[in-house]
Amino acid sequence: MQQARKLPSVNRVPSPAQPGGAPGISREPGKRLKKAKLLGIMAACFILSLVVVAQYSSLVVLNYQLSSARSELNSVRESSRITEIEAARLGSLDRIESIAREELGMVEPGMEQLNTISASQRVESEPSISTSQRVDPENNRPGE
Amino acid sequence: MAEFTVSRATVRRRLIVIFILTVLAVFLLISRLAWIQIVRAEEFYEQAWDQWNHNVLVKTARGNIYDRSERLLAGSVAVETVAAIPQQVDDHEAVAEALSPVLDLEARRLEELMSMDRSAVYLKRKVEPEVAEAVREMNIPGIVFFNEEQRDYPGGNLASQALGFVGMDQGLAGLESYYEDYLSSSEKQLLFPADGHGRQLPHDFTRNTEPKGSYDLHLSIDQSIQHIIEKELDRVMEEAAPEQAMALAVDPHTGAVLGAAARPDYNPEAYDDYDPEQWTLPPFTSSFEPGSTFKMVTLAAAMEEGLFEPEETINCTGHVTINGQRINCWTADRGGHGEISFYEAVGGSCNPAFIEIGKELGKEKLLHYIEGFGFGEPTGVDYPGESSGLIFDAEQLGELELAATSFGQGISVTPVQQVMALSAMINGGYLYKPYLVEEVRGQEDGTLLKREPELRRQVVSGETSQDLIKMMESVVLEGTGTAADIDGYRVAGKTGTAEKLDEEGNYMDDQFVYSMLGFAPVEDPRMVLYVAVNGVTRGPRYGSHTSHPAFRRIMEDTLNYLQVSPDKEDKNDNEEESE
Repeated sequence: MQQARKLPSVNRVPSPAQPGGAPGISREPGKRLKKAKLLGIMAACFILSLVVVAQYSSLVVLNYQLSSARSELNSVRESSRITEIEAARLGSLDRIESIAREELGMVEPGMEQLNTISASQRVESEPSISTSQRVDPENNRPGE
Repeated sequence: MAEFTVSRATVRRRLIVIFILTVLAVFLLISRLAWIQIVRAEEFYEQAWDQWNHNVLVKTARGNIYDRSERLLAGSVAVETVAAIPQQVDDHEAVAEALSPVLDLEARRLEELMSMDRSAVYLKRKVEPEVAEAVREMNIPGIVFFNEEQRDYPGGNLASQALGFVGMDQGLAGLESYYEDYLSSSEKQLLFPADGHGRQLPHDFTRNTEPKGSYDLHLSIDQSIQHIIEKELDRVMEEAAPEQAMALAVDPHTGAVLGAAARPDYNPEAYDDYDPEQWTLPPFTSSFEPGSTFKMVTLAAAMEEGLFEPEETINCTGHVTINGQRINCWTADRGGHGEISFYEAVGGSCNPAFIEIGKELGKEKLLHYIEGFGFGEPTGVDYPGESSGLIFDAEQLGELELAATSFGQGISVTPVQQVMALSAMINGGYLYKPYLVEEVRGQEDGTLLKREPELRRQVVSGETSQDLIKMMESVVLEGTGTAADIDGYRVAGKTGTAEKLDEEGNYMDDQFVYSMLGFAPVEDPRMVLYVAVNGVTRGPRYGSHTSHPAFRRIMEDTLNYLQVSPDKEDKNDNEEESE
């Protein structure tokens, strides 16, 4: 650590060649220490204020980020709402039925194409069910 | 070079002067600061607030409506409203002329709006995105945009009468209106200091007015069952061209409405284009003579009172005369049912037999059960404008009125009253309150209301209930309701043909309301269904060709959809087995 340089004796009269000298200024070690403490405190205050300002500035930046994130969240929420409605619209049973009938040419099976089986029969003759219910895609009639 | 020297005294004087000036300056600054910060603090604070604060209206979205399986039935999307700040619009006439074709509004009307002494006026609310974009591209000073929301019904007309619709700012019909307090969006005013870009600054004086949150409705209606019902009603409208067709499906063990619709209906996104009568849901809001479906109430009362003897016989000649008034049976044209047992009279829906049962009961007992099953008062379903129907009171109930009431004439009831009464008859006698909304759930706060089945009272005993089920099954198996029978399932119910009244209150000879009220499967009923077809104008004019087949198709598709196992041996199987 650097040591303070020893100063000349007190009450020394400055020569005219040293303008700006401080006649009468106390050069006692106690006072110098006091002055150094004062300067130290001032420096600390300055640094502290810089820290505060830096934090404040960081807070502002964070706040801008928060504001931007909130806006993005709202936008995503809105987009989610639109998507939910669109999904519901696309999945509506009317639309599905209309596509099935008009675009895919699907028709409801006629009574002659349906075989109702009892629960007991289903258990006993499981494999035959698919055969009896098979529908010929060509003419929509049960396969023979 | 001449030396310039200053004495120490001069230096000291100068230092003192500088010090004093500095102290004075600092003092003045501190004084000014104190003046600003202490003496005029409040005034400046207000001025600063006005300059810095950013006032933002944050609207919470209107609550959504979902079916019982969380499928969206009604939601909201953001749209823009075109507004003007009159002071900032330079030439009102020119701007009005320019905006008129884009906004599809008269230029004179727009000019009037912009001439109003207001800070801002709406020119056209909730415009299409293309319209907003076109106006934005015109870049007219003083023309601004506000964000609003618009209701969207992704299913189109599906369940439109149950859901209702939203006007500019609030629900105006159906559940949208009934649950407006829960569904409605509210404005939250957010005040905060902002920079030049409107971004919030981190100061301590943010002020909020907390908005009431909006809630989503989760219905008891099942979108698929609703679709099945509406598809069949459309088919009835196409085939029989009636004045009106309606259906209502309810879970008999809880009172939960699974589906409810009527035709003609309307599109909630263009409600203005339709007759307001089409906005309502007739199964809840309309009451009319029930006809023979009401005979089950008379039968339930007689069974509960021990006055019904199924083996006892009656001779139906096709009519009875009471106080000089001839009351016909529907078999009058062929001379009546003849000698039949009361058991057969139920399946054959014989009017004279039920008149006899009503007479046996007497007016006090019959009225007791009619009121007990909930007729003559609203069921309390959560839907606006429910009708209470009209029944006779004890003083009005003479011999003729008692006879008419016994087989469902002279009174008016709503379909929902009939469905809830039938539910009570088959679930052990318990009358429940019907409901459409199962849960009200906050978008952020979680569940606010979860509905439990609400028992109103027990009307008949479990034993009577079982007997009634058997009687109703006979109607479908060998009575008037065979057209409602379903392969593979045991179905039970009661048919009805009610005469319609003209404007003067006289019965019309050729106008009827055909109805079918029933349930399936008999062993463990999953759904009570009511179908009514009013004023058929095309094709055969019978319930067996209109309401009953519609009932059968709706019930069959619904049981398949609910994956209910068949509970009846197929006729063909039996034949094969016997061979």
